[in-house]
Amino acid sequence: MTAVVDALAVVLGLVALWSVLCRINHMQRGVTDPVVFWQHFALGLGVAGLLVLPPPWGRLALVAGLMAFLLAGGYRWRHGAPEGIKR
Amino acid sequence: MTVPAHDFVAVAVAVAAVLIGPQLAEAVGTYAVILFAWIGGAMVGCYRRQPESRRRVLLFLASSLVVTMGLTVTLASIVAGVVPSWVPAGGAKHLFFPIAVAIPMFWHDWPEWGRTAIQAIVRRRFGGGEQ
Repeated sequence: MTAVVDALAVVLGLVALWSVLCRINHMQRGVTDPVVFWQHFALGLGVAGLLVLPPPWGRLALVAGLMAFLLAGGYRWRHGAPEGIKR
Repeated sequence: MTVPAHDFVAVAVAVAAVLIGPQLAEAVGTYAVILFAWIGGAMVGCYRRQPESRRRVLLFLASSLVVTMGLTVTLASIVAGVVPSWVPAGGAKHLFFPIAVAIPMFWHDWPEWGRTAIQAIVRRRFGGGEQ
């Protein structure tokens, strides 16, 4: 059972990493807000850490990446929900 | 000339890599660190170039991964041998992380830099050339 969960985590991690890379591929240096890039960079490194590093380091990398993603984008939420997310 | 703010972040990441790379490498294994560094460099490399098709992104990832995994240790040893003053006490392993980041990060600049270097060497050796 543990092996199945581990394999599932690896597959989902690879899909998440590919998704982050595709988003970064759509960003353009000098056009895209650098903060958005560094947010995704931190998230991607966190996922990569989970995939590549052993459990204590990997878990730390993922949580740190997620934390960096949230903190870097925090300024957009300072005065309420940002534009463009209303349905 | 002003330097873009995110370049300072890139410099900070590179400095941190030199400082924490060896300890991390000892704890988790050399090739895990190289792979981790390659992913970081590949993300910056993707950002530095124009948007491409997914197929070309995959090609970039595959080719830079092969080169990074194959050459990082060798390049680190060469740099440590040629410019020992660049290597902190402890040896070439200090260079694994920055080299593995730099290979995919500057992937699309290497041909141009190589051409420039060859032109400079030819100019120095044979003189003349473009003035």
